[in-house]
Amino acid sequence: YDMLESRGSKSANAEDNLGSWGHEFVRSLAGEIGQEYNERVIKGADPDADEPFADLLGMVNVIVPFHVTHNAEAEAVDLLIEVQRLRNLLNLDVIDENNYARICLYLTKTADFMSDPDDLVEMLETAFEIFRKQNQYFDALRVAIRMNNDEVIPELLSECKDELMKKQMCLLLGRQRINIELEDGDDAEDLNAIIGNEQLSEQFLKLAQDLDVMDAKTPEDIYKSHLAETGGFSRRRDTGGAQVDSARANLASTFVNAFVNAGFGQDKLMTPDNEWLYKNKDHGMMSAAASLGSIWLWNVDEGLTQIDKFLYSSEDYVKAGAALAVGILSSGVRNDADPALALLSEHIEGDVHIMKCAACTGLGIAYAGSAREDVADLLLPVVESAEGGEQGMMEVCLAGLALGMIYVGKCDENVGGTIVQRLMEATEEELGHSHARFLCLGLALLFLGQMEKADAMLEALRTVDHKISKYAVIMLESCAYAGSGNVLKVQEMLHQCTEHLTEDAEHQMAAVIGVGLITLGEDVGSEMALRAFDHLLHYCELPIKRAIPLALGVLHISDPDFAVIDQLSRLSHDPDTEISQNAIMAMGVVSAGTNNSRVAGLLRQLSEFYSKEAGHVFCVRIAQGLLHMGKGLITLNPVHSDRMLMSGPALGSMLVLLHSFLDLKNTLLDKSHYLLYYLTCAMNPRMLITVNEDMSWRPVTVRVGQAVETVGQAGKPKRITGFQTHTSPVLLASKERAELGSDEVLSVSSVLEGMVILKDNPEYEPEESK
Amino acid sequence: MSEGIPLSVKWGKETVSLTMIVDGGVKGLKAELEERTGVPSDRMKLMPKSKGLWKGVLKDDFDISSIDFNAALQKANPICVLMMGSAAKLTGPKTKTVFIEDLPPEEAAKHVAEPSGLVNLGNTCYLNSVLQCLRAVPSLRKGLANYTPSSSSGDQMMASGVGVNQTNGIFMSSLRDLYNSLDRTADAVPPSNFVRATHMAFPQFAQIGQHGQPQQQDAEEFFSGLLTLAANETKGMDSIKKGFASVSEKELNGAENLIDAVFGLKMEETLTCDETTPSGDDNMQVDGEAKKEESLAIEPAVKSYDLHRKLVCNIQGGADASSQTNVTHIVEGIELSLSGKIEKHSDVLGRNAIWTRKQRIARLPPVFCVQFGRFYWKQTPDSQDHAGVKCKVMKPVAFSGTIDVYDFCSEDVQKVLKVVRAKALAEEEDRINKKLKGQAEGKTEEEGGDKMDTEEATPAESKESTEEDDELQAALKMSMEEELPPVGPGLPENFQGIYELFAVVTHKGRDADGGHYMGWVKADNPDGKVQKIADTDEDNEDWFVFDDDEVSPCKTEDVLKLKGGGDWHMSYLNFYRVKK
Repeated sequence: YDMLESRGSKSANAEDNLGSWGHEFVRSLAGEIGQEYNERVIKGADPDADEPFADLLGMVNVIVPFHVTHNAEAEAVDLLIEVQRLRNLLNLDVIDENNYARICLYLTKTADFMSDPDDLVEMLETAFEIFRKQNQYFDALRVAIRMNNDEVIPELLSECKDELMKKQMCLLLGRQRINIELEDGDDAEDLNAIIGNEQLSEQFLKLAQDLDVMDAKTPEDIYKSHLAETGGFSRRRDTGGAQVDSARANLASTFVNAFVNAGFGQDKLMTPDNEWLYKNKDHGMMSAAASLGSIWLWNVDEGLTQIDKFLYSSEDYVKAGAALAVGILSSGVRNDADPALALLSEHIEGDVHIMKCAACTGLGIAYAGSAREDVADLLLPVVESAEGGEQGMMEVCLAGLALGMIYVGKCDENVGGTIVQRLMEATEEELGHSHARFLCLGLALLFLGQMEKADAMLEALRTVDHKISKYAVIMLESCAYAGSGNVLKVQEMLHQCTEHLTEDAEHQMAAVIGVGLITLGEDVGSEMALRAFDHLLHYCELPIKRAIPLALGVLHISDPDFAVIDQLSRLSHDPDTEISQNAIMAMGVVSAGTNNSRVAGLLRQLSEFYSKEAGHVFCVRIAQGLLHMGKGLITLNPVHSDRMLMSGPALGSMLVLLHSFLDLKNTLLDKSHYLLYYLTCAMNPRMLITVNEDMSWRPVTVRVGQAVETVGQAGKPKRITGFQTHTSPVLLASKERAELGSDEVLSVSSVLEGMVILKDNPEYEPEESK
Repeated sequence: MSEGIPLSVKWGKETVSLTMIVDGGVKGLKAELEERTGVPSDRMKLMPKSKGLWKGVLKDDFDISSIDFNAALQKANPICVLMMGSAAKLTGPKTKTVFIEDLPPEEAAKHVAEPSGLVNLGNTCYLNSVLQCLRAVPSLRKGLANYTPSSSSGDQMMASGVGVNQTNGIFMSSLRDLYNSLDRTADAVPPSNFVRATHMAFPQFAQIGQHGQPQQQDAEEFFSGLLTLAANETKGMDSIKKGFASVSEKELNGAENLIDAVFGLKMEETLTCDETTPSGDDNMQVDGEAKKEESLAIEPAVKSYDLHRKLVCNIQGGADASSQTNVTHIVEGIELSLSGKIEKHSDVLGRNAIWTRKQRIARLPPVFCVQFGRFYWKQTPDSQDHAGVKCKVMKPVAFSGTIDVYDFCSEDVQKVLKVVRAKALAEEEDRINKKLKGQAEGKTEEEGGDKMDTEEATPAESKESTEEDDELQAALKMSMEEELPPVGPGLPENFQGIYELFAVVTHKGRDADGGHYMGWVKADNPDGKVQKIADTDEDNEDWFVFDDDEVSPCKTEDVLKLKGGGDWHMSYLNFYRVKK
């Protein structure tokens, strides 16, 4: 310390001329200050009080501005973190439009590595305040969303005076499915429409026209069985004799059709006539009718007219499907008339089992993430009801799941209390129901990404006296820390997998998915998770192995990483039915919406390989449907906005899918295949559209390339590599980033994703004039 | 309040503006809308877009006048309402869809792409593979379908408990039942009863290995055993008639049971004494003439007839340098097996002499089997027990999708075949000529070109034909005048001696007592569209490979690769049938 003392006093003397001592000196000085600070804290000094550290802080106050003004923002932030005085950043007047971006980038990115949740929040809040001070409301909004701080959003919007910025913020809110309604202001109506995604369908269709993919595709266009070596042969034999349909094969085609033509408003099976509907059986009819919702996704006005006639069908299954379709098509889209609520409420209160199931699911899909109280009021009584035996429990579970989706990440006490109460009161039989897992999932979704806020609920869940309690606890915990990259939690999850269980190992399966879920969206963590999975594959029992393909899937949603596909392709030939089926499904998830030709080839091979196993073929078909989802224009990736934000409804719906994969033969391969439609909540166009302020298109050149991490690098490093230049609109793959290709325009948003508003660059000079 | 309320109704893409008369109530509003949009009022669902109106779907008994329109109008003018409804009606299905999941198993089996397999009950693949191949022989199947154990065996059963006839009867009927159940289901069938019957009928197949599991058996032994047994059980014209719709005694030419009618080859064996006939290198031209005359006079060739149920393809050459011939194709192997030298007493010489044995087919069957002589007993005098080992020849022996047996036929049969072939050749030439003519016509239309051509063509043709064998001419003449003698039962009228490969039993493994057998059977090809194998004129047709309970499709090119020479499956039994 003496050394520091003497040097420090010297530097204090040379306050005005710190640079003359050299950067290296300043850097080591900063390091020593940190050490000394820690020593004093250990010795018992109160870290909150300034007095014991007055000398140190004096030096800090000199060094930090020096760093900030000398392109060493990262060091400045590090020092402040060391001495726990991050707030001081806000009082610095040296932060200006030139360096705020780098400081905040460093803050937000390092926040992920903070083990203490308080530190994390502090860092994010600091970044938030800096953005706010610099009038960068869009970025401030991103940080606010990252913090799950919904209350400040209206404040931000009213503070922001820039109309374009406001619109851009609303676009982000729409993407994140945050349900905020602006009350006042002249443009409230416009902005509400943007938040409500009302223009999404229109823009998506325009994109499709621009890319010339409007023509409807049939399932056969996807299967391409003529390319298979023996495909043509088998089909030829089918043509002999009377035409016989396999209900399961047709059901798979229904889903493929629904996914591939999602959002396009036209297809070759369902819209031309009703013949295809009747090529499905019972629950299949329901899914077939519901597929209309997927086809007319986001297009409430026109879709409703198309679906209307099915609501008058004499078959309950068709009616239920139509009701579900109404829910699906308004997924993520707000409409003042609230058709989904208006039409579905009567069925919730009705007494037809299948209609109730459809209505619950429909509401869950339509209002995912909206936290609408009027919807919850409808669903809560269903959860509370304790009659009806098996069918009743099914309704309870589906309603619980829907509530979880609607209040995803909202920690709503009322909903949470009701569900956990229901779980505690449930009979042994009810908890043994194959769908009871969805009730638990509904509860877990409430706390998605909310970390320690779930602690109380965890304790409550532990009191449930049934083997499902273990499963529910793990699921809740993994959901709460989803996307946090929390290493301790990963270790906890891995610890669950150490026991060698062959039965009742549901909680282990949940733990494996949990590892993927927690490390999701964070590069280093997901790399480590991949290695951990390798070990699990070698040393663990079947139940854990079965969950591994799914965990791989959740780590790489819509991101067909070469090595992951390789691994899944290996697992898809596993002799164990469930491992191979899960691997096939995971391949679909990993490649969803990418049209990846390698995966397409692999799946085609698999369809031949398993041509005799109906269950496998169904999985392969669904995976093929996912692969070509929205003809390659749609992604399922819940992580967006430069991989900073995680969409709750999207991740929630992926979890619905993954947890139903854990018990395929009782869920998707049985009668509740309509749960697949929860995926529509995760669907988003993977587009970059550049628009004028009036939302009309403005094509400009953009460079698209692999994203490069630029955190803490000095100067202006390149943010993308291996780029290609296109004219917008363009499609973005996951881990790709876009940059504007010309100086002519400026983007309002700092992240080029989705719809981006452009404005003219006032400083732009045409080249000729130079 | 009697004045109208401005209303904007959004319906799909359209927006309808109207003025609502509050006094008209819901009915009035709906009637007005029905007029404007054509949507029946009972299928109309109205939902408020603006706030402060009703909740949810507008019900018919709702009292509109209870709404505070002034407040609502302040917020939005005109008031927006969303209408859902369409005039379209859902029609029922035009045809009722039949689902394969609902069908009983035997119905479902008809719609499955691949025929069902047989479960391996412990080293029974030798049996499964042969059964799958024989399944594709229709006349055998027909004969079996009508099979009933002969009454005599039934009586014996009563009398002597487990008699030979009884076991044979059980064997046959269990085979029939097995085939029936195979046709009836899409799933693999466990041939338990049949395996039990086989063990009863052929106790040698019931051997148990060291570890208590049934031992692997030779597929060919099983095949021959099955044929022998079935031949005994299907004696007489009645049984044959069951397999063949119409067959004459003449055609049968000595076949006494169904099996011989289907698989039997009547072989003509000619023995010529080498030492009395001039052959070989030492009897050269110099003194050959004299000796020939002498020997011919002394020792005539001996002809005898015999019945076989398979042809054998002997494999020689390759690594075994001692052999004279190197067999690389199935035809060479068959030729090798049909000729040979034996030592036999010669009456003329009064001592044992070397005779040349030459076998030729005197009656062609509709189906025949070629066995590859892959397994042989190798003496091992050096080994401890001096017992010798059963060895397998791994040498590749190629085969094609078709085989021409003309060269293996006896002279009588050859004569007949020649006639048909000449005819076919002539027809083919005719067809080509006509085609050429057609082209020529096209070229020289206005001239009397075609006349010229025909005039030119006819003499050329006749010239050619005069150059043909006199023998053939004679045969041709004969055919004009009287009917040709039949060459075998159930053969088509203009049969040319060409057979096609339709089933193969293959063996994989290095020794005869182990390894694995699979059956490969050609699939039906109803529409007859066939691609060629690349770079050849061989048809690439669809096949099924029966690996016990696993059945998968494959192609002719895959089958032709089963010639051996590696550790992959290689053909052991080839089944040929008359090419259509």
